[in-house]
Amino acid sequence: MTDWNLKKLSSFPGVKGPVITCVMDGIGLGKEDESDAVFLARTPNLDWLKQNALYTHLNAHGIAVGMPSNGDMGNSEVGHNALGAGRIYDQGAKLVQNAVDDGSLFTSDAWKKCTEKVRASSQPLHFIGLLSDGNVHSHINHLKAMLQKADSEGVEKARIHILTDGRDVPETSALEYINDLESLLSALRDKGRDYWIASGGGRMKVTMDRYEAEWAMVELGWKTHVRGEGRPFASAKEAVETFRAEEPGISDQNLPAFVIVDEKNQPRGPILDGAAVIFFNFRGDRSIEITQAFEDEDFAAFDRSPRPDVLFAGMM
Amino acid sequence: MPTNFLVPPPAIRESSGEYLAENGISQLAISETQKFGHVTFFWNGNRSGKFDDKTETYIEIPSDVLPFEERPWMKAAEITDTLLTELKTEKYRYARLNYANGDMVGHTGVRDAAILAVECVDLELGRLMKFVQKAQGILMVTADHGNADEMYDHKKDGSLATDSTGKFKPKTSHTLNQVPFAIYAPGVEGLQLNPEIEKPGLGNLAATTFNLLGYQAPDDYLQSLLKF
Repeated sequence: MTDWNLKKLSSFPGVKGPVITCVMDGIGLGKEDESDAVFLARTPNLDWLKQNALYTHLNAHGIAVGMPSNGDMGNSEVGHNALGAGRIYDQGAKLVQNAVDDGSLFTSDAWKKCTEKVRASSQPLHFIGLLSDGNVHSHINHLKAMLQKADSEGVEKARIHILTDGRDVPETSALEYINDLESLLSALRDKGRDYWIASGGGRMKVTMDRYEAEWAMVELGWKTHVRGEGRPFASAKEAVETFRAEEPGISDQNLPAFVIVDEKNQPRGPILDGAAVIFFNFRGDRSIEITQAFEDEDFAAFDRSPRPDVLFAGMM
Repeated sequence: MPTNFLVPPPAIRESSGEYLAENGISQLAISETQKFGHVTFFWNGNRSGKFDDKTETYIEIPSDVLPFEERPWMKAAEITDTLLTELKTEKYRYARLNYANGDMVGHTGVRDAAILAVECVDLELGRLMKFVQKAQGILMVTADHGNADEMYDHKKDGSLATDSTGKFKPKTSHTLNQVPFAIYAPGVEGLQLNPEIEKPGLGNLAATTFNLLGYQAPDDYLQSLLKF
């Protein structure tokens, strides 16, 4: 049993007024160069605190906040977990990587239910999520591991709905990840599997809204991923290259929605009755709304009809 | 939380907010929509709702829905306005707030907007410091991670990367940098940082908070940044 009783400090009784914690989100200590907006800003109050208050620097990334390595950036979720919990817990990125490595992801009830469902229905196993190795919301290696496992477990069809990043990774790096994924899908198709990218769009335009700031993003995602409605392209690469030609300098995070179509101009992967859908982002905040759209019986944010009867699973 | 999930989330227990609630120490959490979940759900260990309705108040200031480089001030002033109005009631022993500007504007990759975002936050810090001095409180200032501190990509040697036209390449991601931490305790004598903590991190803040409220931290918490 937890002993909740806090003991008084003998040497410090506290103060009359309130104790306040102010989190200045995203304000770190950089290289003090032309890129460092914190350094370049005029900040008389912060400067005063550095000189006159009790002042030090804190680690806010990597192992210090429960990420797998010190090459991993911190983020607001793990940062606030650490601030509030006062202890460090292994975080999503690390827990998922462990579950892939030790195979427990593939013995989970959710994985078994999803693969059994599509083997019985012959509908595709759909994956929706952020395609990058940012390791903040997702990691492409988790997706690739699931596709390979699905193949080895006899799942005939898979469709991947990709959200391009450009925020946790360099701004225009989407094609690196698309090419990486396409080469795996192509290899699996050579073995007779029917595995394709089906739709996508930039993470700040499609599906990954949070805190109900802009439900229209999720509605667009529903239209794109579920109904297969939207601007058609033969491949994700063609979509990205077309958008970049139309708007030079566009960041991957802001790419418009796109739908991949087959030779007959039909969408490759609308989500239909009998399918299973895995949303493979492990971070929660930008997963909640799309999860509600798939799961909630009472749902007023937008019109989902016709809502397919699918099994939905989240990564975490 | 999805009904079906492939990997169970971290089981964070006995967070600082729950300790405060169990001890009847009143708390206020406030931010704008973009970070409201961070000062509540994530702060409380991925837990929805309050521990104790009677002693906790959570306030969300609605965020603008538009590109934040066009409004780098965001709702920082409104957060401070509401926070100070609440604190002046003297109902709260502890308050936590989040100014979203450095992160949300940092993510746009627009450096000059990010500079303004940081300046907006600094302006609000000044208001908090003034209040704390008058109310005889204590203010801790820190950040959850870096972002606005690197608005252009760097090369491996630390110099700035350029594109084919010689322009710096905007960087929209978080950074691996450390964050500032300050304790402003006007009129309080004898507080000192504990030099024995080798690698202080965000996880050391909660124990520090208990100390500043006049309590020992729970035994299994990471050490306080203060020495008593």
